[in-house]
Order: sequence, then structure tokens, then C-alpha cells
Amino acid sequence: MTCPYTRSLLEDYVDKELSSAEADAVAMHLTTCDACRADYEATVKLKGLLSRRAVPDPHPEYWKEVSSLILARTVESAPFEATDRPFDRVRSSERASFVKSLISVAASLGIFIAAISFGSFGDKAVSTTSTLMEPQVLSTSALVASAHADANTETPLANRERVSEAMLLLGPPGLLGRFPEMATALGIE
Amino acid sequence: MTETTPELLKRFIEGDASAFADLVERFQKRVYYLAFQMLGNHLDADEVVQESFVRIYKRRKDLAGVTNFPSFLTRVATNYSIDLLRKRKGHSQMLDDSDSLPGEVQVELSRKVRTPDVQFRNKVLMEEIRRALATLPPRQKITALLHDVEGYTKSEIADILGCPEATVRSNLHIARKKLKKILEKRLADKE
Ligand SMILES: [Zn+2]
Repeated sequence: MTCPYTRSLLEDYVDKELSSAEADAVAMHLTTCDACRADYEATVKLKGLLSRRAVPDPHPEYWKEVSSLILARTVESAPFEATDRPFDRVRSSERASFVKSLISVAASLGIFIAAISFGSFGDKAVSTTSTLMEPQVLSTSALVASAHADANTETPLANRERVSEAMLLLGPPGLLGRFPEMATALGIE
Repeated sequence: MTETTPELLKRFIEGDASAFADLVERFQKRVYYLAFQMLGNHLDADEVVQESFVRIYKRRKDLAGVTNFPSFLTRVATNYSIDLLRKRKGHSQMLDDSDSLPGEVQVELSRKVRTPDVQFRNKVLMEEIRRALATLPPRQKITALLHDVEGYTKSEIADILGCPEATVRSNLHIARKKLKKILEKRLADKE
């Protein structure tokens, strides 16, 4: 077997997609040819490196939060139609109101965290305030990003100050979450 | 007893909202990890997870003919990721670069090892791989990820991406060739 022909089969060999006769021929060539063997080893190693999946795990609470947001968005955008069994309608509407209150709490918490931290979370929490008024674009970013401290954007100081002002004016963060129009009035968006 | 995915899908199509919730719970991680590797940061991965499931929910009436739900979901998530990647290109080349890996976040690999030194080396390695992947065009990148990370076959990938298998094959070949070149030193390490 020649080098070019071996190379043309090399990836299929690594992926174990060759017939046994072809695989034997490639294996035989690899025992005698350093160049092809080096390429083979690099391909195997690359595959091994990629398979480790270089992804950091999100905050442990993230999975629950994102499920809730997805369910809230679907319930609000296109509820199951009238042909659904009554049992399911009850359950999904219960879920909807639960999820709505959950979002309200989550958003409030986001603002709260933003207001008390000196980091650069301000803009993310504020963006959660605006998503409250625009239910189609809910985001878990405020909560999760705050918990992660992975925000790397600059926040205008003015925004942070306005959030703090809002805290002073309105007291507990829940108020802002429940009355988004107040946030608008205060220019936090 | 745990319900199979086709059973859940059937209930979902019939209008059972709780089946949808179960599907989300079952597959959200898979979508997240794939999207994170495509886009390189949490916020975009989060957007892909949300959008993919919301789109599937809205198209539930078209799902009756779907025989392989994971593959269908991957297609939806992949298409959205590619769109997002193209949109991000030119805009600050993603949050991807450098410090989007928060210090306290454990890289999956590092659980398997003990010493801080090895952990650090693994983190550096992860970063190198991420940067190498970031140089690939969207189609090559997703092909390499689906094949070498997620373990899809070439014909499944052809189905997911809606292209001929020969295209998958050549994209995978080009992607690997580029990655081997970029990671040359790393791959020559005898460790
Ligand atoms: Zn040779």
C-alpha cells in the first residue's frame, strides 16, 4: 500500500469505518512507515483531545432556572390548544403562574445582587428588568452570570447608581420586580 | 419506570405539557454543552438552549414524523448556533476569547485529576483546544464537534446539517487537518 493511498484511508481507519481487509492493509503499512504512523498518531490524539469536551459546567442551579424560563416562554407564547385534556390544562396553567412568580423573584434577586455588588453585573441585572416587560426575551443571565462572576463588560457607573437609587426609593428588590413600570419611570432599562 | 424518549415525544405531541417539561430536562445539557463549544460562552449557550426548545414547542404539530428526537433537536440547536456564530463574527469575536472561563468553574476534565499543577495544565490545554476550534468556519467546526465530541456518525451529521455525506466527510477532513496543524506541538507531546 502506498503512502498517499494510506493517507486517504487514514481517517476512516481511525474512525473504524474500513472493511477488515482495508484496515489490515493500513495497519500493515503503519508498522513500516514512520511518516504515516506519525499522522495516524496525531489524528488519534486529536480525536482524544476533542472528546474531552472543553466546557465548564454552569452554576448548579442553572438547569432548573433555564427549564423554568423555557416553560414560561412556551406557556405565554403558545399555550396548548382547547383540544388538550382538561387535566393537562390545569396543570400547565398552574405551572404558568408558578413560573411567572418564579421569574419575578429571579429578576428581583438579579437586581438586588446588582445593586449590592461592586462588580460589573449592573447592566445584566438591568437587562433582566427590561425582559420583564418583554416576556419573549427572558434571560437567565442576571442570576447565572452574577453567580458565576463571569461578566466581563464595563457597566456605566450611572446605571449602577440608578439601581442603587431605586433600591433606596423602593426598598426590598421584590417591589421593582412586581412593578416594572416603576423601573421605567426611574429610567432603569 | 423511566419513559423512553419516543413515548415522551408522543405525549408531548398529543398535548401533554408535562411531557415537554420532561424532554427539556432530559436534553437541555446536551444542547448546552454543544452550543457552548460552538459559541464559546455561557450567555450564547443559554440563548441556544432556550430558543431551541421554544422553537420545538412552537412546531410541535410538525413533530409527528420525527423518529429520532435527539437528532432533530440537535439540528434545531445546530442551525441556531450557526446563525448566532455568524452574527457574532465581526462583533468582538465573541466573549469566547481568553477570560470567559471563570476561575472557580471546574473544567470537566479536572475532576479526574488531583494536583493543582495538573489542573492548571488541563485548563491551559482546554483553552488551546477552544481557541483552535474558534478558528474554524461554522460548518467545519460543527462537523468536527458533532463527530468527534458528540459521537454522531457521518450519515447522522449529514441528516442534521441537511447536506450530503460527502460534504460531511470533506468538512471533517479539512477541520481535522487545520486542527492538527494548529495543535501540532501539543499533538507531538509524548505525554
Ligand atoms: Zn506511508
